[in-house]
Amino acid sequence: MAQIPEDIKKLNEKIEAVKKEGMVKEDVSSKKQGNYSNLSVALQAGIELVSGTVVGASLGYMLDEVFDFKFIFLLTFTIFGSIAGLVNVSRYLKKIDEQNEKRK
Amino acid sequence: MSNPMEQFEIKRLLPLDINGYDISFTNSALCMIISAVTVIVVFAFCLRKRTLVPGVAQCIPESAYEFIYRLITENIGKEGLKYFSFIFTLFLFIVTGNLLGLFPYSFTFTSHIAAVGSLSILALVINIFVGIKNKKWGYLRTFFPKGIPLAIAPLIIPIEIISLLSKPFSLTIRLVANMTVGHIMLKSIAGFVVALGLLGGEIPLIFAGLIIAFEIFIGILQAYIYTILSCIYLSDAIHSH
Repeated sequence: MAQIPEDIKKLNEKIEAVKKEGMVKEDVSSKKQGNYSNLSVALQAGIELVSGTVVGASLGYMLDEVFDFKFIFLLTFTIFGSIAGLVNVSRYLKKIDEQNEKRK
Repeated sequence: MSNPMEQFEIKRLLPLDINGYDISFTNSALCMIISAVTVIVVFAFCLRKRTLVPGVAQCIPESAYEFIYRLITENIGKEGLKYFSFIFTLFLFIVTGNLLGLFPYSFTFTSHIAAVGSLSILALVINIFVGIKNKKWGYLRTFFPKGIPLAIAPLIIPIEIISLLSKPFSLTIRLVANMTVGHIMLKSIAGFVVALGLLGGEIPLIFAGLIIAFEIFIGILQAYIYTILSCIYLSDAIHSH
């Protein structure tokens, strides 16, 4: 069997070292990316929760103004809005889960 | 130090009043036009010499195209490509608006609920049309999914309606809050540079520089998030049962 020249061996070692380093870097960056995306998901979940309540309360306030009630609609729709916010959060998180599963 | 909220003031450039409706041409409208024109000019310039092997200039629009293409296929699927032009325009308009707002004497229209809210409502209307087009009357099932007892319809229907209406709200708030906070912070720190002068003004100047770099990143990231969420909502309209 023909012997591998010394310079080719060294080059091979260098390539292997660079490959290993690259894999480590990739691993670290994917972990960092994971943290950022978790933060983004948490922020979005918070916004979804609040926006449901705000939209519900605004809708209730408008209906109270239109039908000249004191606060019945405001109260009812704020509760509906809070539930809608929770529903939105659960749907959003389910969607994110599905996406993560697909990536795996 | 000047008021950091001053930068968000809408100024009338061409006052116009029709039947009591104020439709003046404002600094916000001007920046929106500049943003749209910038996108057209950059794309026209970069794509003036179209070759099979792209040059550096051609890579910019091609990368943007591929990025949005991937975003749509990952989040909606191949059937979402019908709405590619809308999502691509939305992304480019917002990202350009965010970045142009960082220029001195410019105006960040993406920090205004009216501007971003209109885009979000447009996205919601398109979603509803897509849903109706795909499912006809079956779209109404969105508000009352199959298998739910009729007795709880008065509870489920308002919750589902609020859930649908809160989508543009959450889209808007996220982008507007990020843009507003970033610009207030930038202006406040820039104010310290002037206030401190040569004695210590260098430190806030470095911070201001760092915040500008951070704001560029945030501007692109928020445009991406806005687009991805629009895709998710569109996907709901296409795929929901």
